[in-house]
Amino acid sequence: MATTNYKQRTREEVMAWLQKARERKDAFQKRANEIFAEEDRLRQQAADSHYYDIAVK
Amino acid sequence: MKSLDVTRINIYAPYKVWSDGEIYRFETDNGIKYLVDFELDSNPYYTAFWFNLTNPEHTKSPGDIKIAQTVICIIEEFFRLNPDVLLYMCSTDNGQQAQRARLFLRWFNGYEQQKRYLIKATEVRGVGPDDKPIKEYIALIVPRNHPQLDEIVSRFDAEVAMFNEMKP
Repeated sequence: MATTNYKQRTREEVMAWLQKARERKDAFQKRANEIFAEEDRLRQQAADSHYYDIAVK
Repeated sequence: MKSLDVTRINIYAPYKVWSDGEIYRFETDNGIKYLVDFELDSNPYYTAFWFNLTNPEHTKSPGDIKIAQTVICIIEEFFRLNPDVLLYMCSTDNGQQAQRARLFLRWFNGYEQQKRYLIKATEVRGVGPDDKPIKEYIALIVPRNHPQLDEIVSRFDAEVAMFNEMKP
């Protein structure tokens, strides 16, 4: 087994690692929600601008 | 991390994948949108990335096998360019992390994948909002030809055991 520099992490280090992973996961979820909200906003803005009303004439 | 080649993904993926910066996206036949990204893990011993998959509208799509096939194509492309380790943590939304873990394993436990990757999934005791205990599900995917395979798996098993020996 390639165990150069093998060092067991402490319980506290592993807990912190898991907590950080959870925070990243939640941050990604939040970012995804923001992307969708922004896209919805832009779609609504386009609809409200009556651009499509003009475009189909 | 080397960026994925979406043209290559789209040769095999049933749903068209496109990238939006570092985020990869696809939309199903039912209009359900998925976002995927990879984030570098902070462990100091080997290079690993967290795989993130989300459907922000939380729309269910039972029986749509094309979602799994598309996700597999994205992950295969990740490993083609990044011969590292992939970690996956299930979303805890609605307390359905166990179901998500089973689904992910089913997706990734096909015969072809098992030949090339070692996959381990486990439940660990984490800490949720308000410091309440929460069950987390974590999966580890390592290419079988990874030079540190044995060390990575031993470390993962030891650290998971460390969690589960803790008093709640």
